[in-house]
Amino acid sequence: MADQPATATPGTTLEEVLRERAAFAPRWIVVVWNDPINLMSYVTYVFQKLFGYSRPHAQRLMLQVHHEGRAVVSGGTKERCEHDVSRLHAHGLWATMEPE
Amino acid sequence: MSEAEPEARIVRTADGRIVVRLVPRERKILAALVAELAEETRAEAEDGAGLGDEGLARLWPDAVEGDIVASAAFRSLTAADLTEVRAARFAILAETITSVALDEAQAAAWLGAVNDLRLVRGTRLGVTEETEARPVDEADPDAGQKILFLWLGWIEEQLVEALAAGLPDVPEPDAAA
Repeated sequence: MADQPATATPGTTLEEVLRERAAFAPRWIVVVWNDPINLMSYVTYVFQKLFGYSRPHAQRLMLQVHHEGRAVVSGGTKERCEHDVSRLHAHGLWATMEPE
Repeated sequence: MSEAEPEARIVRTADGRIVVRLVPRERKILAALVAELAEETRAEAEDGAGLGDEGLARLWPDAVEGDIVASAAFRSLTAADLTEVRAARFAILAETITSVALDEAQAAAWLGAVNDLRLVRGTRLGVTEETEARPVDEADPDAGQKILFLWLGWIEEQLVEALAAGLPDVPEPDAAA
């Protein structure tokens, strides 16, 4: 994704500039990868606990990891994704982040 | 999964406590395994997290897919916290190893510690998704280690079930979510 210069036209408020910048900031995603050790029930529980997902939603993500090898579990700013990856690592899940 | 499931030893009771009915010998084994891993992860963190054997390295995975440099930077920022979180969980398990009932935080610490044990030992054993499905071959030189690994999985399933039952009920998001 190409970087978009966030140019502020004269007269815009700081809030508008910040909102414009946020809109152009590259979005990152958090990916959880399949591994042969983590239990399916455990992975579902971690998605529920860390992200507040409903049990069916957490189960769908877990099954996607299991069958497709990876699933996108969250996304947002780089900082937000770094936070999520570190929490997933603390729970032993194999998580990475990448620009969307 | 075996046909005759052994009786559950870790269950959430109606009053919300998580009751542990492990026998003293099982508690002794669990405590010893965790003490060993606590020492290994402490030494690993001192030497440089993620640089040790593949089992310990599994506890500090790469964070940025396909980018070793960014992953190393991420690790240098988070490794100390991650080590501290793990050490705290190991310590809670050690302190409560003889308890007959655990609260949520204690049970969560047990779960984290048992999962770390399975990650490290399972990686060293090279377990696959088949490992859980097949009976252990007694002629296998790793038979004892594999049985221990499967036993840890049995403990972990019960901890997950007990803790998941205590999670708040979250309504399903709409189809677009």
